[in-house]
Amino acid sequence: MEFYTVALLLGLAFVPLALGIFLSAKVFNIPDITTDGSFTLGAACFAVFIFKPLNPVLATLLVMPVGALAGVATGLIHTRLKVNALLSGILVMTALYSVNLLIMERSNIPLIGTSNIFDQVSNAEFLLKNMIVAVLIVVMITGLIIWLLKTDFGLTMRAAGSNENMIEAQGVNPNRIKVIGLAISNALVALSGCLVTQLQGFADINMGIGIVIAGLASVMMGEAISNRFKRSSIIMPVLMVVFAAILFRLCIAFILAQGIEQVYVKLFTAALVLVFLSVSKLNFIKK
Amino acid sequence: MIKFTNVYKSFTDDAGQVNALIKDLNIEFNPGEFAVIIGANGSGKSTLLNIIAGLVYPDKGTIVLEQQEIQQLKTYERSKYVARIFQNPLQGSVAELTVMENMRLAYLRDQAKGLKLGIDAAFKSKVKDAISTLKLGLENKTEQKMGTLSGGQRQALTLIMATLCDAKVLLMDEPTAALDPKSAHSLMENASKLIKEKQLTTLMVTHNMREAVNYGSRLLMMKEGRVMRDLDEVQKSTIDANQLSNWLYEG
Repeated sequence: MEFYTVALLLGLAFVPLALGIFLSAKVFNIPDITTDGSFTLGAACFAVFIFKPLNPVLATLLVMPVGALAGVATGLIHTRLKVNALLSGILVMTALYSVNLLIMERSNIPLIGTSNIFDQVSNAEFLLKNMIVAVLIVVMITGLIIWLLKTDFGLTMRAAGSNENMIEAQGVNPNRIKVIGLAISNALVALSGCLVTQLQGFADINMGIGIVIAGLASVMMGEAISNRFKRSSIIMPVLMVVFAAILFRLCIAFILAQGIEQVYVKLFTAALVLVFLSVSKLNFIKK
Repeated sequence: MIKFTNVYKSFTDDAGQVNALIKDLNIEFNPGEFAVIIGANGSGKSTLLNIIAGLVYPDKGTIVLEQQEIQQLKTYERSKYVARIFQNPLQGSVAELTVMENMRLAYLRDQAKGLKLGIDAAFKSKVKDAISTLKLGLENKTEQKMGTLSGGQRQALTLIMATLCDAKVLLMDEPTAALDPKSAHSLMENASKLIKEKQLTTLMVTHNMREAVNYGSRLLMMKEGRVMRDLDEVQKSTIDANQLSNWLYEG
């Protein structure tokens, strides 16, 4: 059972990632691959901050503006230099690999003997206190995203993803929205990287590889579920992405528990995304 | 209100040939005027609207809107003055957002879109009042996604969106082209009523001669980038749709 509890914890830590990818991929409709780099960026920055030493809560909070910067870089390359969105993300992601190595100064930093954000609730049993903090963070982040998407700015963001002409006619500079959107999205991704690194107890230069697909898997799963509810409000899609992010980790845990080796996880993830992509296109799941 | 002075616009085609879209245009539109623009394809009607909306920048000349030169402003910088209804009903609104959310964006056309939950009870009732003037029963569908409505319904709502905040200029590019005759009639009646009520300076491009005769207080006929005929309200009232068609055939 503890195995699944740990998976659940990890799932919660991946919620900000899924929400970040939901924002870029679904809300304002940009395929953003910066994610792979900004996830590790979050982990790398936390590992460095915590040895300064900074308070783990502060270190976790500080990781977000750094992630946002990565998003801004992608956004500016895309909007100012007119580079294709996908390519802009790949460029920044590639550059971030070096940046992350420069930040970490080696490829792996064990976080032995450091405190983390999950320790902050005292006198509870280890897994329980981890869980309390993780749930708290997820509730806060999810609430914040729902609130943001319901504000006037959020409406503009959602409109920008589907009809750029229209928002321009409503006095909005779509480029500005894209840059801000990518900043928010990558701040969330960096937060996720920072939470995962705290849970697993080390930061690794390769931990972000393929993470965009893991996030996308949650987004696609969430979308497939929320489409069944036929609600016009944005709340349901967001909640379903959160749910799917957790479910996805439990699925992976289940697969690993069947004795399948870790090496197959990415293959499984890619296959899962493919299934959801094609199922929604082929319309097997009734919209 | 809007004054064009020596405005030129041309484009160079793939063969390297320079084609004039607008040639030395000098024209002024007065506040509250509803100008209907007709002309063959390629006569420069849509270009004229696009220049006002900021989708196209003129090569030469000035366009003054309320004492301000606007020819170099970006679309989103002039949208507080200019409201627009597109030919394609899908283009003027966001399918994934609800009617109410679309209205909110339109209402904020001349304001910053901040971190405020703007759709409150007061806003909802204001919007429903505005929509009910259409007399299409759409005020009961404000929580539906825009994409679930028909083209005619969407175009009618776009009209409300265009007039929800006080624009100075309303541009309509063949607003009824994609609509069935009944929806088209209803849209034009509503538009004409709103334009009078809000005293909007309006430019409408149309290929429908009956609309051109029945609506508006001024009629322009364009050909090859120039205004060939310019009828005021009195002159306009003396012509019929056949006459207009003949003019277009003659060129």
